[in-house]
Amino acid sequence: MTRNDAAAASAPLLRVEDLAIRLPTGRHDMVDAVRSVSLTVRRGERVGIVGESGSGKSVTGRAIAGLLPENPRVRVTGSIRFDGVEHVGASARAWQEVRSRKVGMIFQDPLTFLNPTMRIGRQVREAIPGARSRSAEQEVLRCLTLAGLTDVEEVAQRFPHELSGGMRQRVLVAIAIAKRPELIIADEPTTALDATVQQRVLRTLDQTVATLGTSLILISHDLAVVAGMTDRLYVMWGGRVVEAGPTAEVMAHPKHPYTQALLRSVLSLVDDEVELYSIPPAFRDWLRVEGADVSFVEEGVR
Amino acid sequence: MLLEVKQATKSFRGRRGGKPVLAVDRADLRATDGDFVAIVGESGSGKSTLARMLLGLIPATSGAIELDGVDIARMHGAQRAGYRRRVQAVLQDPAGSLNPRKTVRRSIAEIVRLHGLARDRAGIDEMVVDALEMVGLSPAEAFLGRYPNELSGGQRQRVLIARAVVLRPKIIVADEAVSALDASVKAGVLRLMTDLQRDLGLGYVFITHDLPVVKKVADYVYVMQGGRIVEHGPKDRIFASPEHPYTQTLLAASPVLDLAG
Repeated sequence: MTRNDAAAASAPLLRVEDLAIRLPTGRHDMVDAVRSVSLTVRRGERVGIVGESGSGKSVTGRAIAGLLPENPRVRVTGSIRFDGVEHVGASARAWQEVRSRKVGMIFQDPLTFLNPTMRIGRQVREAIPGARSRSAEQEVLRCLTLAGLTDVEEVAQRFPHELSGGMRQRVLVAIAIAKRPELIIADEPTTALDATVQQRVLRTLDQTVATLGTSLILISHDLAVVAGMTDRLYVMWGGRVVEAGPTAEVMAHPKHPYTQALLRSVLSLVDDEVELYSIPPAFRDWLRVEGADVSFVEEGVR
Repeated sequence: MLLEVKQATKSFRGRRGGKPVLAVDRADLRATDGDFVAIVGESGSGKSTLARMLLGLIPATSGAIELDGVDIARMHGAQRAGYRRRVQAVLQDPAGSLNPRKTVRRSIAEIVRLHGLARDRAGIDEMVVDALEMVGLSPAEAFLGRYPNELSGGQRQRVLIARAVVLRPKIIVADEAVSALDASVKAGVLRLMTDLQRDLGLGYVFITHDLPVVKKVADYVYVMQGGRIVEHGPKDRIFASPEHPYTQTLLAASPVLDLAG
C-alpha cells in the first residue's frame, strides 16, 4: 500500500451507506433496483452478497465498480466511500480512477466481456497501469500464471473463442488482477461453469486474493459458493440487506425469516431428509409488505 | 411405454474438412413412463445431443431410437404424430422457448389445436386451464392473458411444462430444465415434476450437470463423458459406490453446503 494517510488507513476500504438506485426500464418507467443497502469491506476481507434474481445484488456490485449504465435517468443516492472519500455524485474522472485502479470486476459471462477480435495477451496488457512499459509483457504472463493458467505464452497468443469456458473465466481473473486493484468484485463468476471447473476457478480466485491481499466481494445466488469463500455475508431481498453477519454465524443461525426460508430451500435440494421446499408466494407477499423492513444486521457492521 | 436408445451414434462433420466429431458414441439407454431417468455429464459430454436425438430433432448417424420397438426414423403419419405427442420436451431457456408475442393462452392453445385434441374454443380453453392448474399456475385465469415478459423465470418454466403436459405425454425429455433457476424456484419446479410423476405416471429423461438435484429426484442415472455412457445404474448405487473414475470425480466436485460453521 502506497498510501500513508492515517485517516485513510483507519477508514474501511469501502463503506456503502443507505445506497438506493433507480433504473429506467422503459421510456417512462423506473424501477427501484436497490432500496437500502449498507455494507462495509475492510482491507483483505472477503465479503459475500447472496440473493435471488431481482434482489438488487448485481446492481449494487455494478454501482460500487462504477459500471452503472451511463444514462442521466439513473438515480443514485446514499453514500459509496472508498478510503473515506465520497464517490456518489463524484466526477467522471474519480470514477474512471475507480474503474482503472481500485476495483476489478469479474462477470458471469466472459464472452460478453472479452473482445473477440483481440488476442488474450493484449487484453490483459491493456488493464495494466503504464501498459506501454517494457516490463508489461512479463507482467501479462505473471497475471495469467497467477490466475491459474498454464502454457501462458501460448494462451496470450490465443483469441477468446479458442479457449474453454473455465480458461476464459481465468482470463477475466487475470485482467481483474492486472490493474492491481484493492477490491475485486466477482458477480456469479462460476455460475455458467461445470462443477469440476467451478471448483478449480473458485480455488484460483481464493488463492489469488490471498496472495495479493486484495479484498473481495463475491456476489452469487448460490449459497454454497459464497459460504465457502467469505468471512462475512450480506443477504439481500427486494433491494435491501435483510441480514448481515459473519458467514458461519448466518449459515448456522439465520435470524431473518427470509434467510431461514432461503436456507431451507437450498438445503432441500441437497439433503435427502428435507422435503423439496419452495418459498411460498404468500411469504413473498409478506416480505413485500413488511418483512424486508426488518433487518438483522450484526452490531458494528454498519 | 418404452423409449430406447440402441447403440446410437451421432457424428458431426468437422470444420473445414477436419475430422468428424463424435458427439454421441454407441449409447444405450432405456426410459419408461413413471420413471425418473437422469443423464449427467459436463459441457461437451454429448448429453444435449442425445436429448435431441430422443426428441427426434436430429437423426442418429447409426443405431436407433425406438419407441415400443419401432424406430422413430421409420415412423410416418399417425404413428409419428403419436410419438410426438407422447414424448415431449422441456428445455433450458424458458424465455427462448416461448414466443414473446404470444400470451400464455395462445402458446398452449395452439399445441392443443395442432394435435387436434379439441375442436371448439370452449374445449380448447378447458384444456388450457386444466394444464395451467396442473402445473400450479392457479388460478389459471390470472395467467391466460399474460405475455412471457410478465412472468417470473419459475412461472415461465411452469408454462413450458403445462405446454408439454396438456398433451398427456408419457415421457418428458428435460434438458437443463431447472439449471438457471434460483434455489427456491428450482425446488418448486422439481417438486412439481415429481408430483406429476406420481399423479400422472409421467416419466422423465432429465439431462443435467447438477448432481445434487439428480441425487434428490432421479430413480436411475446415466453418466456421460466424451459422447459415451461410462456408467449407469440405480441412483442409490451410483451415489453410494460409483465405479467409473469419472463418476467419482463428478461426485467429489459437487458443491457441499456446510452449515456447521
